[in-house]
Amino acid sequence: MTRLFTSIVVALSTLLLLCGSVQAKKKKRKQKEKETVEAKTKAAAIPKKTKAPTQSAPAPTVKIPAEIKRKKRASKIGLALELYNEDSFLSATRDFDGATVDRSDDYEAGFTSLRAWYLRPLGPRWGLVGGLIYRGNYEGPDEFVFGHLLDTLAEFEGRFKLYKSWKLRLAGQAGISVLIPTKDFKAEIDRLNADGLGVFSGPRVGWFVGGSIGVTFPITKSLGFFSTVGANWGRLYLFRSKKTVDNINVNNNWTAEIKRRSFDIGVEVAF
Amino acid sequence: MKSIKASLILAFAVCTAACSTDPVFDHDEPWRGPGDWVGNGATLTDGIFVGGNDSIPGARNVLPPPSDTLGVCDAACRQFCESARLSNPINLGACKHLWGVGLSVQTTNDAEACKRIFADMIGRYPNQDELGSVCQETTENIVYSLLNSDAFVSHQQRRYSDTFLYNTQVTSVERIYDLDLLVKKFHLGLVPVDQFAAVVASHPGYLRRFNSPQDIAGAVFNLFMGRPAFEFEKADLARLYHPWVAGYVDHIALNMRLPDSFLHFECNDDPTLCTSSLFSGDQQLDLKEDWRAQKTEFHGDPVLWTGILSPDEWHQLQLPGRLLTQEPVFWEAFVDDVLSHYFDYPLGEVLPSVREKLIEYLFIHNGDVRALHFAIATSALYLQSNKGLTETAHRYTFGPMKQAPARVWLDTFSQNLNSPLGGCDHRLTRPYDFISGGSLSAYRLLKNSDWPIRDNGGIDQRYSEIAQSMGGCSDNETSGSFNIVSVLSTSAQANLLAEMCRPNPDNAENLSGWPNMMEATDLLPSGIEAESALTATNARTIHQMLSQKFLSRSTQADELPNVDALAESCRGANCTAEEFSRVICYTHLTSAEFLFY
Repeated sequence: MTRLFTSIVVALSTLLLLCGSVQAKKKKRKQKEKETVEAKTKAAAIPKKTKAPTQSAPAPTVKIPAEIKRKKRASKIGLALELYNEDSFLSATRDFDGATVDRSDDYEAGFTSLRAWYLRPLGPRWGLVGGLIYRGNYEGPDEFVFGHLLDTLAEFEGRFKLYKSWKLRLAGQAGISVLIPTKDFKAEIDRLNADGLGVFSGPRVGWFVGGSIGVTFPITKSLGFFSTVGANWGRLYLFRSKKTVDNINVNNNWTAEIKRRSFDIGVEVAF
Repeated sequence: MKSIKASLILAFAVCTAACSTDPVFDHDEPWRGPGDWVGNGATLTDGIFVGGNDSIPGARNVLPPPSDTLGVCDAACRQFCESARLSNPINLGACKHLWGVGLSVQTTNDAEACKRIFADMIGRYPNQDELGSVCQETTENIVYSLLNSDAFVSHQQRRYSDTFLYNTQVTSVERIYDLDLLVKKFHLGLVPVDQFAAVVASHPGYLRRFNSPQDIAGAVFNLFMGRPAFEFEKADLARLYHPWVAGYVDHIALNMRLPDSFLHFECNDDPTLCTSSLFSGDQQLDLKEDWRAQKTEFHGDPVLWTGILSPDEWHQLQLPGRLLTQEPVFWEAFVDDVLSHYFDYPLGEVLPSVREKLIEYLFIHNGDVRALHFAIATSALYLQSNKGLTETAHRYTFGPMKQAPARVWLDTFSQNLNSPLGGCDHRLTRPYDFISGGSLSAYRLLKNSDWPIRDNGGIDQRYSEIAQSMGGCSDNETSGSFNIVSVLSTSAQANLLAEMCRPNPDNAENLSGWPNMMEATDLLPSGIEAESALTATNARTIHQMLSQKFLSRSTQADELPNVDALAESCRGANCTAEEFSRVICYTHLTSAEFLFY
């Protein structure tokens, strides 16, 4: 928890510095634009010798600037560093002819993960997000390493004006988790297979649902800042098998029940 | 697209095959160590031994020596013993202190002898069937019959487990199985005594328990020389144990961290560290370090796991044991150990001539330990009665008297039940560890052991809990099995026996955990119904059957008046046949005759 708190403080400090620097740049840019406009106005006040028009002028047309168009309907891709923490539970039982070995235990997993997403706007406020979160080597109780955990997620999000260009972002999410076994979990699979239990040695899957709340604001016309806090709940199915070897009935049920809190900070680019 | 899909499937298949490991572990043959390397040839002897049917001479007609002296065997005595044509080494060695000086032995009856031989050789009293079959044979044939049985080997394995103090928390289970295999081969006549000692003296299954080379040397010396080592002896022998380091091995298949022994190679720089000079001159261990030595968390320098040693390397390491077996004391101590198992008093020290003859006998039979067991179990000194009075107090003029170890009387009782009580396994002293690891290999090892498994897959520990409360089924944390007479153990024993014999109509579990152990059919001869009225004839029949079952003998003539009196008083109280049988059951099982032999 201390690590998470430190990370959040560092992240927020970085965010404030970033905001300060962006605001200073904006102010400088505005000042420059103002000076340019004043110079143009002065130039316009000086009369010019012009040729009389031989034909009548065409009717004026209204052109919407490209950047405004982009702002309204632009798709976005984003990248964020996610800090997360879990109070999860591994439900792990294995029984031999009824003699149960219960390795169930609470565990706290997490720290950092990397999140990438693609946002497809559905309207001025609403959008659909598809994304990937790579959580590294995922650990369970007693530092038991399960393997590389990858979450694929879909989000339905809404963005609402909060203050000036700041926007409130609300999202509901659901996703599929994919675990590629390594280290301890891989060794467990190998051991069971060596014993003739024939368990699946490939990736494990699970699911999760959750939601998040956060803020966004533009840094430049196409670059935006993004930060949210969220929570989700899910299951990761590790073993679910029944087999009889040498007249011994072996039932194997391992499921990770995940309760996760997260904080992420990143950028998104409109295109 | 198709080719990409095919490539992906191929890549997945290759990865699945390449990334899987196959730990080598056979739960049917889980041993690992030097015990597996020895005794794989023919037996040392053909299993036929001399001295099993000596004609016992009467005492020479002279005044016996006083109780505190052995007596002097003069020329006439020597001539008497030579003319007796004795061939059993114990009889030969004892003659000049026994028959030759005017002492005689207490002859025993067949039932008493058979019961004693069974208890000492296979760890239980004979059952009713055996009383009518094996026990009717000559003593020599009874001993041969038991000596060639699996029960004899199992009983000796159990006995040595108390000596080596197997404990799976202290020693690797693979090493325990290996040492147990060595004991088995030893009692099958495949490994001679000196080789057995040499292997044991450098076996991780025994040595891993001890921390330093000095501790190891002290323990090995005490084990094989029958006395604690002097400091100079210990210091010298410890040099040959200098390379030994205690460590751990992560066993993949068992999913357990096993304590095991490793070797370091400091002696390569300074050979004097591994050189003994006290036994047979300068003797040096010469172990070469190679790529197999690895850095570990428990020792600074690279060490070599003893689980991957070659037979030549084991031969090197067995040097201390080989040196000890060259000492005459080793053979004396070994013979004394076997003698004390049968006699329960130090016959070898009381009559050194017996020990001397037994060592010669052992050499004649190529160090086959079965010969030693045969000679002892067929000797006149062993087959004496322990009842009655003798002229003098010489210990060897009456039979041995021993308290039945917990497992002897539990197994004797158990064999008379329709559902035996179960057992325990001396190799897996912490059986639940082999479930809690969650490894199927470990569970299969447990299931192959002598631990009874319940229908729900768990371990039935009712037998071991009772046995442990009275010194049996030891977990060997600090000491092995023991015999004890105390208020606590006597009370526990009496409660259990009362529960065994008492009817339990509700079929509820007793304190001991077993429901209604003795059914009426277990206690009554065929033809007598549980509810039938007790008659004098029925009472005698019931007494006879239960005497055979529990005391391994028939009702004796001097018991009949008591049986009749008891039956008479029982009839007065309208006893049924079953009620009478339960009383007899309790009196038999709590009698000294059942608890001592």
